[in-house]
Amino acid sequence: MEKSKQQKNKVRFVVVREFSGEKSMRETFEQLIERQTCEHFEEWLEQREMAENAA
Amino acid sequence: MSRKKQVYEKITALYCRISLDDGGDNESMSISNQKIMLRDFAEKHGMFQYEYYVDDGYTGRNFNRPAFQRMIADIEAGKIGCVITKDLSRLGRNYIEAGSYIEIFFPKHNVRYIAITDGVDSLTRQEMDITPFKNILNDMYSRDISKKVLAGITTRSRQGKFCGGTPPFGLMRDPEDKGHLIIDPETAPIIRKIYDYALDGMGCMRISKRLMEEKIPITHVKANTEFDANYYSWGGARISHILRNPFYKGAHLVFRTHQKGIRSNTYDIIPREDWEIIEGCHEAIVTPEEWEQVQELIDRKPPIMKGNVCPFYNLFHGLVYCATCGKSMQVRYEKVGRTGKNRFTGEMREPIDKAYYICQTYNRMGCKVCSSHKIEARDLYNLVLKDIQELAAQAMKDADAFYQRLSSRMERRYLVDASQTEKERQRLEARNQEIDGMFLSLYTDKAKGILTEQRFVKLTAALEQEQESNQKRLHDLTMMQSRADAQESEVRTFIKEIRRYATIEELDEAVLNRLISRILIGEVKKVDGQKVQEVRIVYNFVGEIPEIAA
Repeated sequence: MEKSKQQKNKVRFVVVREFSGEKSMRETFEQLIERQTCEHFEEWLEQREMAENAA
Repeated sequence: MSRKKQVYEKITALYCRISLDDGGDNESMSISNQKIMLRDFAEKHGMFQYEYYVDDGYTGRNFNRPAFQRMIADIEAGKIGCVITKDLSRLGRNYIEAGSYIEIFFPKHNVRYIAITDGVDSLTRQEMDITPFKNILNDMYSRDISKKVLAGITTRSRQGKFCGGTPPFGLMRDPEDKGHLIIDPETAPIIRKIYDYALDGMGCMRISKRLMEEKIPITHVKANTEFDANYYSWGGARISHILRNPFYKGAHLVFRTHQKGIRSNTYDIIPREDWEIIEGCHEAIVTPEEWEQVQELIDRKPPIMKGNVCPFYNLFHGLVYCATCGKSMQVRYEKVGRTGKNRFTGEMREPIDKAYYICQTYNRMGCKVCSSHKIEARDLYNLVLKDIQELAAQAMKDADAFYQRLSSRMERRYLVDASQTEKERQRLEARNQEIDGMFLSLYTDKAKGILTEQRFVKLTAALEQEQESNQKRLHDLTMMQSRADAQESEVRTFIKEIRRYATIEELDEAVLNRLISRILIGEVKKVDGQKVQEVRIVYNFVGEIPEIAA
């Protein structure tokens, strides 16, 4: 009883996509992923260097 | 005592002035000629106690001239009995103020005024009736010059030539063409960084704080230069000025301000929508698309209200809007249950679990104007992350070529170039062998008696020293190479597994602002007894229709 009431009160979300811009989807994702990967890699290098120095 | 006698007891001020517009090369106007003319006139008329007051390079449009002000102070102190100028225009070209000095100030202080070539003498009232008209003509001349100069600057500016003073930070004047700007290799990376931060969704204040943390120096230090922090004192206004500046997209802004009147020192700021921008005038630091995107980002960011510190960091700042009224949604934070524990399960809740967004209009004006459109921050986060991941999977479906490209680019960027080290090592080894040969020939020369003992010792010492330093460098290079080899293998492993890291696992401001233009939150509606809420995500790119499997 309690559960069904909770379910009834829960909101169902409907996601609608809209696109605006000039770049293609692939290009945008590629740029973002490249940037993120480089950042991630630089962080990893920094941590490795710090660990080496500490050792 | 007669007034004439009184005049001769005091000193006579010989006032000379020349402005840059009057032309420094005009000999008849030059200061030296004015001085000679005034001195001859004074001596001829028995005024031997004179003093020069010279304003070289000052405009006649106003009276803010050092020598003129000094002369006025001396008049007020009662030291001057007569003022002589070459003509009326040397006193000033502003007919209102020049008239007030000639008609009011000088008579009030018993000062005789003489303009030699115009034939004006206040003592004899000679030509005094025509003086105001001559002053008006002088005034008109200066106005005409101002108009011509302004027209010249405007024309050059509309042709995309830089006519301002100091070029914007990040750019510099082309040494071959002063009106053309080129990129300043030293400061342009700072501008690029500022734009990158803005594209990542950071506001002006946050960018300025980040630059201060990174200790990036500003251009002009105005405050106490001994205080180190003043060299990095970036401010939000400065960042905003940079982000709004069209010069960085290679364009030229004709005028940013407008002078209210020719004599006025006050300027009206031209609104941004009325700016006259000439595109493609010089090399750009950011692309025009990026510049436009930054303008949009700044425009849509609502100001952060000061208040209680909310532990939830609003990732969606400037992105979430009410679908009904179009206003940005405010983030609110649950105040009940501050312990952070779930009442039922006892689990600790993160700040995001206690934050939610509501419509700004509803919050300010109540339910009669707009409804709450409430959405929990956690729900929004999950929805957006899931949608982005779906799109990413779709976009990167056959991305083998991209991953290969990325791997080779990273290898080029991060792997140490071993060929240079190897070259240096070979060079040093060859040199050491050469030195050994030289030692041998030196011994032979010494044995034959060609070389003296003293010279032999000197030469061998120098060669030994060189060989020693070469050996040391060789040792360092070997160490570096072995370290680089170890690092290379680790880097290669990382790059091999690049696909594992090249995914979007969580949302941050950079991901959101690079991908999404805005998120519109719809009203909660009841459909068949079930509450339904529409979340419209507007992406920054062109969508693709997924292929339907046959």
